[in-house]
Amino acid sequence: MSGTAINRECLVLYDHLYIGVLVVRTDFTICFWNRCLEEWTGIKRDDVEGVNLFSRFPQLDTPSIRARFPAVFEEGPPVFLSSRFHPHLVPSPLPDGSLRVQKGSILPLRLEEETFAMLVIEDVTDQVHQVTEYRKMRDIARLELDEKKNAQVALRIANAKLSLFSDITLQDIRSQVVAARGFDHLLKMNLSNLEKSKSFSDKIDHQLTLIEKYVTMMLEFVQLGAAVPTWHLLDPILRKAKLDAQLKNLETDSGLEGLEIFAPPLLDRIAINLLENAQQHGENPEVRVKISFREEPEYGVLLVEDNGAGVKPEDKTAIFKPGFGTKVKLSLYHTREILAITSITIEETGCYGTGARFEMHLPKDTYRYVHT
Amino acid sequence: MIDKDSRDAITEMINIGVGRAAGILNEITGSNIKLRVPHLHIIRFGDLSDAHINLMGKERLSTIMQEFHGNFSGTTSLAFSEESAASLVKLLSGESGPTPDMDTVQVETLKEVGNIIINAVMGSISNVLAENLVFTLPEYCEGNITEIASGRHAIKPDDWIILAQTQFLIESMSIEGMILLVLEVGSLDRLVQSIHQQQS
Repeated sequence: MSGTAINRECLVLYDHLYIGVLVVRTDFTICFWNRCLEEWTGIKRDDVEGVNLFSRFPQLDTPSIRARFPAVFEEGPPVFLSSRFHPHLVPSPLPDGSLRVQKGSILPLRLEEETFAMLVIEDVTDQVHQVTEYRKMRDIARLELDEKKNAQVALRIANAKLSLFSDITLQDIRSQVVAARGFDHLLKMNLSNLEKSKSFSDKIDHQLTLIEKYVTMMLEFVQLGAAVPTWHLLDPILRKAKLDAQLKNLETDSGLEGLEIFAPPLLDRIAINLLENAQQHGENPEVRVKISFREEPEYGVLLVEDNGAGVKPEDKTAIFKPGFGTKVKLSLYHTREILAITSITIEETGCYGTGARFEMHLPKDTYRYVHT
Repeated sequence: MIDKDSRDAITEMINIGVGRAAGILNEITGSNIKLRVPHLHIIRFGDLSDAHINLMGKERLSTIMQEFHGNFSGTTSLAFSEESAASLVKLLSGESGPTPDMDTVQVETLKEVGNIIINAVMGSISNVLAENLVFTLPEYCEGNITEIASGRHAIKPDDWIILAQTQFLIESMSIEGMILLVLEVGSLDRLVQSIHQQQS
């Protein structure tokens, strides 16, 4: 042991505190190790007193600690050591094997004409755990709040799009009604001619069928404006879409397991339409559709690929314009607009002749994995 | 009123201090931190103008303060706007998140940063002047600049304040803070006297 023994009577008080206290001389020899430290570390004072602090606890031998001692020995300002930068000043295991989280202060201690440095260590494990839990809860609450805000924004966009969709469909219904009235007029003028009457009656029936489909579609659009976007588990949606589209060969990759997508209502209708398109326009009796998902640094990529004829280069943009294709079901125009409500984009990136490939880019906050 | 030589000496002592502090902060955080004190203002509390207050903004400040007593007495603080304090702590500790509010662990982190800088600055002053000062442990408090300057004691209009604008240059970011040395009545005279004694 260097120097003369420290006067223990002056330090006996520190044996009764539930904080760790160790005292070192200017040569960094430990000359006091209190009971609390014995209890925390399992190291008896006889085993450390007289030993060099940095030899016994090399983790303390960093410039950010060692370099701050000399000022203390000169009775300068006390040093504060936060748990963020020095979480385990003197390793003190807890019953579960984890280490106590600590913070500390180094204070000058003047005893009998000699200045020592006293390292006071506090156990802040519970405090740090509470803060960690609080941060987790705060992050969850913030996420939920963000989702709610996003959903409200999306709902406003959906309502704007709804009126756009409704305008288009109402115009179409009005056209069908005008046509039906015309055929009705012709029917009444040709009641004596059975063949012509039947022909006009069939045309009126066709117009009414179209109107019925338009109304069905309008009712679907109403869902868009009535409910906020939510998380949709993709797997059951694809299973149902496969049945509805009567598709025999659907292949999905493991990236889809537990994948949820944040999208407005009608995601199920979009899935059915994409599969029906592959079935109807594939020009291949053995149509196979493959759906896969992968993550890129900025977004997720959802691919719907088929082995049909594909889309001609000149049609790649046109297929997403209003009025392209049939008007009695959700078109690719509607699909693109509905997905855009939650900032999901869709484009056709396949090679004509080898099959269609619809590529959707999902922003990071519109997909997640859940345990299924 | 303080003479130019003494003002220069105080500026130099503070710059030596923050230079030392930057070295410790670099080691502790693993970041490349540069500290600069571009401007120093020495004024009486009663002359604290809007211009001085505006240096830090009128909003609430997050502050680490340590009192000292000896031949000259007062309080040394490191003050930031609440947003700058949160940004600094997050940068130094590698945390993320947009909130300006600080929890206790972040407050402790800021306390250590403040303690490193205050100790380095005050260590530099007491070493150069060979003055023995007794210091308290760092405390965290929030308030406007007048409340911060007042500390726990009622500040008098004749008390001197040394305002040292401090720039933390961390990677590509610059965060502004303020070292605030509030000297009790008579303490600036004794500080200047010590400087003169060292210079002569």
